[in-house]
Amino acid sequence: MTTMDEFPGFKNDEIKDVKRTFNEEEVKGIIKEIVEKNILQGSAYLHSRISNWNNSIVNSVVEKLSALNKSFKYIVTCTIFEKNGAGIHATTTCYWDSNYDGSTTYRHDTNSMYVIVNVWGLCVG
Amino acid sequence: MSYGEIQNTLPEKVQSSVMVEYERRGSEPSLRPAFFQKFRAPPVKTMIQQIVSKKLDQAIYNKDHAPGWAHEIAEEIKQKLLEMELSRYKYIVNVTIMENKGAGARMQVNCLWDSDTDNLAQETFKNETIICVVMVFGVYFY
Repeated sequence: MTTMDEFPGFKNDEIKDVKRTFNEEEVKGIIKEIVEKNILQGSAYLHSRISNWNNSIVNSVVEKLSALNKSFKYIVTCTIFEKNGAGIHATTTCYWDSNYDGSTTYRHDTNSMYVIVNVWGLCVG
Repeated sequence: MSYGEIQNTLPEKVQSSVMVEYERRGSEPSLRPAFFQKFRAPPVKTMIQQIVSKKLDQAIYNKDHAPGWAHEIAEEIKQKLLEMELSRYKYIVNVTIMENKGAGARMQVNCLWDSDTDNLAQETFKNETIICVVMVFGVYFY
């Protein structure tokens, strides 16, 4: 009879845990790639075009995250804010299971705007 | 199949856990929240409106005070949500305070979740110098 002990580094718990942990670095990498693809460094703030950019960032982030195939529910928000000297502050409080759930924030600066992307991942069960 | 029938067919250990769940919810055990236990946007919206307008009605934007306000608002909303006593919900409260100075801004949300149980309440507050956007997400876990 074979037991799991014969295969070190291949335990049931570990396989399960990969699916249930929110990997901040990985998610941040995904966001960075998508934001830099969508927002060009030199582009000016044009309110009519912002909705398109916002839409495509948010949609493609969720698409990429769902392709990771983890047991998570995701919430993605994207804020694009014009740079003209006005201040902005954002705070988040969460009530959740901090062992499994996680969040990341990515901030991107161009000459004319700030792009702030927030991702929350909530483990299912 | 009614609850009584399930109880007879399940092994002892499962039976006791089903029983605990039954007593806690006061209904048939299921993976869905009961009708009155669902997260609904309208009551949460009015609650947000009350808290934010109480806090920021007379306020004038100040870069030193804004982070404190945002933190206090978020904590207060979270406290009120927990007092609603919806079981098995996780909450995310996001408060953004911006200076009302004519700068353009756009926020967009996309969610991958169970739209039957999970919901979002969003409120915007404005006065002469401040724009405050509050988003509350309620996510059910099974």
